[in-house]
Amino acid sequence: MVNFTVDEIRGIMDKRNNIRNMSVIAHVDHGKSTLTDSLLAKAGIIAGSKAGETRATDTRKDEQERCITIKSTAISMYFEMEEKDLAFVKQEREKDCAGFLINLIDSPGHVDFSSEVTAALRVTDGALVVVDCVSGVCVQTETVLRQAIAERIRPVLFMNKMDRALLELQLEQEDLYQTFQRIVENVNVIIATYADDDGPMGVVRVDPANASVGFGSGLHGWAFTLKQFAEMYASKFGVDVDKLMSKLWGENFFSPKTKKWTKSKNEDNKRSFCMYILDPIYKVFDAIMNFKKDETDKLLDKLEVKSKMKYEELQQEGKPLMKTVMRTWLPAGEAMFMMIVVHLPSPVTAQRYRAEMLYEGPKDDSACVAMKACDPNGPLMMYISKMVPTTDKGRFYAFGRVFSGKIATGMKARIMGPNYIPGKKDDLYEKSIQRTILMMGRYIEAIEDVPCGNICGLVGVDQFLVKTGTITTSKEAHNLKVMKFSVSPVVRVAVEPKNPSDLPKLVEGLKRLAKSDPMVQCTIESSGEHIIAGAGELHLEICLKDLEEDHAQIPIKKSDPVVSYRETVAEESSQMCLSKSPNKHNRLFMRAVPMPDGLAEDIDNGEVNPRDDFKTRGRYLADKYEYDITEARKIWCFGPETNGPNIMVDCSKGVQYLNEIKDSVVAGFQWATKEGVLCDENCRGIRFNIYDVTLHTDAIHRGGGQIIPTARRCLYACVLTAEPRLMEPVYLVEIQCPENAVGGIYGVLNRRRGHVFEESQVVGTPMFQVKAYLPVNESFGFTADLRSNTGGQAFPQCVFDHWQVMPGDPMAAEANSKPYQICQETKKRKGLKEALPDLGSYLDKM
Amino acid sequence: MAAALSSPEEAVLARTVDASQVNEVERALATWDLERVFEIQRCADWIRDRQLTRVTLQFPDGLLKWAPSVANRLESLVGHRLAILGDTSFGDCCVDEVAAQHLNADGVIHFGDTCLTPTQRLPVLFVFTRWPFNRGAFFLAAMNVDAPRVFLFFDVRYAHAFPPEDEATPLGPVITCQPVQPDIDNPHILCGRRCPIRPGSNDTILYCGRDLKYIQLLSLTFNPCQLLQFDPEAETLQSPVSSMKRELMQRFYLIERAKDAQRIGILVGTLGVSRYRDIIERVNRAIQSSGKRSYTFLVGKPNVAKLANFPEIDLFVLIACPANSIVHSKEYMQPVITPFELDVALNQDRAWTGQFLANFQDILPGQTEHIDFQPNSEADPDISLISGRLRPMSMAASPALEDQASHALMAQETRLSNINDQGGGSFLQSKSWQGLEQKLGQTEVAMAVPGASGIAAGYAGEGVVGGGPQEAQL
Repeated sequence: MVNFTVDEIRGIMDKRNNIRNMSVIAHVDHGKSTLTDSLLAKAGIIAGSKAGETRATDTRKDEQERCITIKSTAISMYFEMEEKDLAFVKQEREKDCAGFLINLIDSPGHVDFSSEVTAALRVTDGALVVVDCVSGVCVQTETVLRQAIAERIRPVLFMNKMDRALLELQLEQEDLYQTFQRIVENVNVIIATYADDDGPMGVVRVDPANASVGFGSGLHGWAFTLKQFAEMYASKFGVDVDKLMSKLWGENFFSPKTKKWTKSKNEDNKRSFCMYILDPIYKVFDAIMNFKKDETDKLLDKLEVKSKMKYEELQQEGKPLMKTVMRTWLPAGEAMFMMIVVHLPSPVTAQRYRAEMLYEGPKDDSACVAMKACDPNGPLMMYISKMVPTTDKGRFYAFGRVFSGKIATGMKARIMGPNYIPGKKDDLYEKSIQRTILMMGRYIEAIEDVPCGNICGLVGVDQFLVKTGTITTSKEAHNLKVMKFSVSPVVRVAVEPKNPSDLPKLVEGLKRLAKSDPMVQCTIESSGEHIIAGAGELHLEICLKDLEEDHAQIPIKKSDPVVSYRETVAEESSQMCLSKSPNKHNRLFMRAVPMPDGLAEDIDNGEVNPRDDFKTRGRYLADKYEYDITEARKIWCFGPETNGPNIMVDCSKGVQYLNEIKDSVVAGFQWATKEGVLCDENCRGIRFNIYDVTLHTDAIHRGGGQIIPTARRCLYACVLTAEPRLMEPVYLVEIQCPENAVGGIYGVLNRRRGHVFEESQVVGTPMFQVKAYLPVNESFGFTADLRSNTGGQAFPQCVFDHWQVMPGDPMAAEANSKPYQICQETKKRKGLKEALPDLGSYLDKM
Repeated sequence: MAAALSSPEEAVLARTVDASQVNEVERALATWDLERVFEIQRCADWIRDRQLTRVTLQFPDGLLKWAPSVANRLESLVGHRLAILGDTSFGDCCVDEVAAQHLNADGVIHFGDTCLTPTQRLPVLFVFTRWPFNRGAFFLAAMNVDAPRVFLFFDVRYAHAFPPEDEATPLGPVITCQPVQPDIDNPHILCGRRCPIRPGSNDTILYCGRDLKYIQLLSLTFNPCQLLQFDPEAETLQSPVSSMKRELMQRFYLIERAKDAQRIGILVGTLGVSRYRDIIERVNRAIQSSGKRSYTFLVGKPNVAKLANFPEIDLFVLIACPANSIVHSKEYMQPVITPFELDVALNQDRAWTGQFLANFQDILPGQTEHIDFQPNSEADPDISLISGRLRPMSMAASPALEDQASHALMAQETRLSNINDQGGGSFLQSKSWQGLEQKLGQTEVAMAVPGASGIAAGYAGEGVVGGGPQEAQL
């Protein structure tokens, strides 16, 4: 039975200091959803005995069937804290209120769904980082942790799957301590890389000695922090709990003989962590699992759990008894609750340092000031981070976080999409909020209003937003920053309805799919293909299934997965390219040059972007890429889509009327970089220099009609004379497997044009970690192939890493190079002429 | 201004004529005499029957060579002067009524290939002319067509090989679709031919001829069917388009673009097709009640350079005869679509069914395919599958925010008194160069230096004038 009411939750929502918004993040299969169960059990949402197997936050049928979280799920819980524990809460807290509201979001661990993690992190202030203590820190642990810190999310650490360490690996106590120690160190190294101690969040490091690290087993429902053990021993030693906690971790050894603490190991002392914490746990495991009845009995008495257990529970033996005993002795929900409340920030604390980072507008306007103060009386500022499907087909709850003010059922608000610009009307709607709701896993609860610092859902705004947006009452408010995903949609499939007349249904379904997933892209290409682009094969598989079963509800035909390519150049144009306008009265002279390594990525990441001040940008390019400073200041534009990784640089001197044709040349550039000359793909990493133009003196003869198509032809000629190349996307693959499987991995990777660049043993385990680059194009079926070649022992994690130039000339038909084949296939798929582009039709003679 | 928006007059003289067309006629004249090919007697009868006095003869470029002799022969038969029209202002296949009216004509005789579109004002006689055709080879090739029902379409210049009275072809279940005099109210006319029944998805369309525009028209109009082409010159049977579905899907993409477009140009291609004013008016209304801006253009024969003069236009709707309506070229900066496609995009009551109507007359009031346009002010915004953004689907969808204050500000910032938010004005604002800039004192005074002399197409000492690949106007 749920042991709190919606009214209680609504009451606590106003007590901003007693709220914790947190997400659970980890590598795939490290036990996030399983662990989350324990907290849900504490809240009474699921039965304690079922915790660990219900995975209540996996609300979808396929999530339960596949045992993998696909969508992040939010749930709000109310807890009351015991009087004695309140003292540990060092942050500000509400006077005379022992209740706490925890808004938890359980996120998926598979890298294909990391956009869900990004969306979850945005609306929370703290993160519970779960690490499987057997596998240790993995790629995805690092990725999500890095993202969390970049979003200014404070982490706490939980070492999960201790049961496996004890039962499967039978680790010695000291070895287990070393494992823990190493994981803590690894996590802190990652944290230190992305956060300074004197940064806005202060010290972010996790430390078992201050109870910001938990240990336990989500599956069995038990967990502890040093605080719990310190409390048990505090009276016995007559020391402060705080002080004792620091004694129980690290290089602290106690000798039972001399009753002395020392800082180093010698013969008759023992590490305090092993002696006081691991030893009792090992004893319980040993006694119960080896059916030592008498010993078990004694232990249960000693641990004071016998009285808490029911008669029938005591009749169990073996593993079931062990679970019950451990759960009664060290309930996981309790330990997690303490960690969350004590170490994760309240919205009041967090928004002080997060507000300015989240806001696009000036840091001193009313909206930002209100967010900084988490002011319920300020203007409403809410960020919608994702859309959650409702039972009503095609409709969604807009899910997000209220940063300031209050959102209420029926109130009028401004709904601003990501392309809204203050003062303009694009992407702006003014509508009433139909209903505010509380997200409770698979259920929702209607709620009158929601004050700042909380996470909630909205009904009736979904049709005015695509995926994300800002909701405000202030006319002056700017947008909250859009989220940056760590993955890119590089894998694509074309879909079509099996029955052609179902096309309108498919289109409608695609639009719904686009809404329901934070990252998927649904587009129609000029070839008329309907494309779904996702992060990886699994992501696409889920999207297609959702499309077919929920969003479109029609049978669908899908193509094999394809990747998109980029067109680039390898050298400077071999000649000055001249193109004449159709009336022959205007001439453009240009060349293409490859960009230096790293610049395209800088543009992707926004380090170099069209909105920068041209002087600062010029300096940056001159310093980092040795661009000529005068030229670097004269970047006309970025493209495609005005912000892509190609630039047009004015290298001309004293040309008359040049400013008049700039817009036309830019239009031609946007066109040419969007639909490249080789096979109509986007260009990447090309710098086009315009050296000279001759223009007709009469303005009418140098209008857009003369210049735009000419600029396009000239740019095409530039590319064709500059050793054109294709670029393909490449995955970073990380594989963990036992040593005997490593050989199989190499075999599979070699066959698929992949190469290993790092291979190392995971310290303290028999596992090996292999890192490799693998072209996305070769990755289809990779997981299955890898498993069959390693006896199912190797699991890869693929995440898009970079674009890589493909060796071989795409223009060399006779060599039949790989890039040539790809160009031809792409053109065929797009329904274009399959002939090679002809330089002669783009280049003119003097 | 005129030179930039329409083709210069000299371009006509420089234009190269499709040589194969001339060759075909010459081959025909080797078989038949001028009388037969140009049906001079029929023309004379037509003029006499209607007692026309000022008849113009319209020749496409490929037939101009024979225009004088045809005219002479005809004049001697009817006994009064006739005028010859060359350089048609839009498409060779359309009757150039405007040019004819300049000559105060009371009738037009149109020679050569024609789209058989109903005209507005003048009586017209279509003379298809005739090209040699090997019936034997055709039937031999067509024997292999395995289909329950075959619809036979042919280039009008081969019409002589398929006389209407000769329906008994050795081809089994063949329905010959004869070219007919245009009749706007006859629902059985499809693509300028009389189809007693509409082909279904199991049927095969067999086309005799080499006109790529007409093939595209057939492939879109009869998109569920199989399309075969008999090339009378090569005497082979082939599938002219790789996938009819793909063609259709590409048009679907353009429809999606039309939904995205904020500023739509109405490109008036023809002034000869009947009811063109109605369709312009209707398209205009559809665009405006969808909260978009419309601008009307008349540029004669559209080409890449002409349309690129209007970068502020997101998309053009071409009002033309069916054969010239389908413009699908990567060279155009903006997509060019048909009025029907625009109707699919904007008319919420018209669902996309895979049907394609190239003839804009079909969607006008009073026709079978007409669906009334109901401006819907309450429509929710829609997600664009092109940009992934939301797009307003009706005028009221964009919020009516009372922006008095910001209006006042705008007026100060710019020199224009009234900048419209969605129209060309907002595009102008986004341009870096908006007009005359004096830049007083910013330009250094330089000494005069001798520049290149001659014309830009080839300055003195540069050799041949022209020579670029884009020599001919598109």
